[in-house]
Amino acid sequence: MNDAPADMAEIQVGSDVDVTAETGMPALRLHPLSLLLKFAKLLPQFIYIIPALYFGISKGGGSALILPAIAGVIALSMGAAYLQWRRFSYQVGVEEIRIASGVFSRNKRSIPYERIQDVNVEQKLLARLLGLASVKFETGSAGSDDGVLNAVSLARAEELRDIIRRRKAGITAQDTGKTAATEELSEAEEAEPIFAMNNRRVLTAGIFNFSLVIFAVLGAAAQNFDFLIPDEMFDTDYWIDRVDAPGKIGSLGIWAQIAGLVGGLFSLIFIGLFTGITTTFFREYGFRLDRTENGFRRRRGLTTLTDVVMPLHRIQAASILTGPIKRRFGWYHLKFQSLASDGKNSDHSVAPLATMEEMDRIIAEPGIRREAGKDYLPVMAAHWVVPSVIFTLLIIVSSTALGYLVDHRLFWLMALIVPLTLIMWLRWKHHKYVLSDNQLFVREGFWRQKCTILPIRKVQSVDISQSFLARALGNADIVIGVAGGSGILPLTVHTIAQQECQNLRAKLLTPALT
Amino acid sequence: MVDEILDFGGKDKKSYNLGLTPLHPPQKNLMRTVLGINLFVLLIGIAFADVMLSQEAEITRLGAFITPAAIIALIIFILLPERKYRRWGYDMGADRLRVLRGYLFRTDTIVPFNRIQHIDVAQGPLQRLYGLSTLIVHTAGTHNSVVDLPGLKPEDAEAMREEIRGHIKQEMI
Repeated sequence: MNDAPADMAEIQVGSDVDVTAETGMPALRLHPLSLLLKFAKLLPQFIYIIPALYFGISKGGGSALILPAIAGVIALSMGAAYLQWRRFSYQVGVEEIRIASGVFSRNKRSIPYERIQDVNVEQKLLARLLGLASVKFETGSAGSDDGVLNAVSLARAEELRDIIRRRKAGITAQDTGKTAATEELSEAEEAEPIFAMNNRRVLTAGIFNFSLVIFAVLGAAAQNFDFLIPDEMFDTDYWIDRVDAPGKIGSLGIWAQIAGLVGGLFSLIFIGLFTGITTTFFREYGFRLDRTENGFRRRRGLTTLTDVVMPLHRIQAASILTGPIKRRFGWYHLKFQSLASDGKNSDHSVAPLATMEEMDRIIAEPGIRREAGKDYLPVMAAHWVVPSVIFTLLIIVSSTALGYLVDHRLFWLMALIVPLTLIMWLRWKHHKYVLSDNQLFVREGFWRQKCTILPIRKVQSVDISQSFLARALGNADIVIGVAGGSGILPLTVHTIAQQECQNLRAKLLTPALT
Repeated sequence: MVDEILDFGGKDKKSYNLGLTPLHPPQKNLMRTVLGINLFVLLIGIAFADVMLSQEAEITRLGAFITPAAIIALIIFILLPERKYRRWGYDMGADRLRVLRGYLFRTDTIVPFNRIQHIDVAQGPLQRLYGLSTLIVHTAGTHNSVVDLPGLKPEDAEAMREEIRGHIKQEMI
């Protein structure tokens, strides 16, 4: 299935595309079937267009025009997609990839091989059925707008990756390179993966991914499509009238009510498990991590197959995620923070559910040690005391006001102080750090435990930041700039003594300053 | 090696910027101008609401909002720029740039020169009026990907850029 279209992707672009022959290589088009993919992508937009058309035309009284109008819109966007396809071309040069695109305003991008860090191949469900794959060149530029070929045939995608690997390795003689690359590839195919997950493991991972997100999704959907839902849907009286017409709930008796509650709880658990297992299966099915010559290669996915390459030298930090229950069973999730992005995530998941031994094997490859070999240091108690005091004051004030003004039962809101303080205390208990042998270890979170391990030569900048409260209490936070990772939640050691901040910063900056 | 790092948030109330290089003095005026414009726009809004509530809705007396707001704005206008200005400070070390800023929430950033990706010197219209420039330093970090140091004499900013440029190495990541 993959072989026939491979040749079609090699269609050379005629004179209508103004790609100059600077590279001396033929300008190639994307696979013609990629038009189908593009159209499938446009479909959801039509769902929005159709009601608009419908309302617009039915108000004007010309309902006979609806079908031709819809057909017109579809034809227009098909035409636009065709023009875009026709004006898109790429060239595989000796030193660079060139991509020319744009119907009216032309854009020519040149990506030198030495700048390409990763070549990722992705196959979504439809693309898989058509034997296509999209190829993404990761350059690590801050703008996510790297080169994407969406889509070429799978065989062509693999060939492109080989070419780029070969060119990056500096082998220019095509024929010798080709055999070497194919050899390397087939060798990688046969070698044992460094980590893989069978279906049983994926299932276990799914159970730990218990999620009630579906309710949020349904809620959001209900909000967006509420014009389709009858008004009574959100009218409590309507439902009480329907369900409890003869006062059914009240007359059921206490045991029946408890049974109902338990039943509800079970269905919640069932839905949570179901969502967790399904999403995990779709994402992690056939998970396989290989050690390649200069990094890792990860393949996974049930419908959307992804094939991601991660060079070792691009790995900035490792993070190990677990939870109180997961940990009891000895399971951990290992991620690498890398400059390149992994889909929408900034971290690369390299082992979604692994034992300590399996994880150690992976983490050692980029030269990161998991064991600190020293005791972790606690942070100052102000980390939980200060927010607890603020919350307590806020709750006392607001529940007192509500209790007097609205209903005296609202005084009970004060009970919230206990769990909130407990949460703060647990968070403090689990926030620890240690600097050991040029690695900074930072632990955080009670329910979602995360341990970040950062080799300090990867430190880009260090902030000491202090609020007026922290200033009065003599503590400060250390915020570390690391390439990749989250910009909103940077790696931070919270609430440590001012003097300790100074010392830690001096140590963290040592490799960068020598 | 790391040389001595000054005590952060020292107890001596006089040395708000820990003895680091202060910004070029016109920066205080620029901060005051910008603050003045913002406060003015805010006051117009409050004045409008005040008039609506007193004349149209007749809920409050004329001036119930605008008078206290104007007084608070005046106090802020007089006091804040001075306070913010004296808490700014920078230091060009042999191998690093240090930037200290913030009034209620203070931040002390150190960027090693050899972690800097590229540098900009920028000047907006108001800055040009006051003869000031901003030095903008880009790092590879997601946090602190851009570190701004405003309020520099244009010659100083250029000189700093030249100095840092000499330290930038290829492919630090």
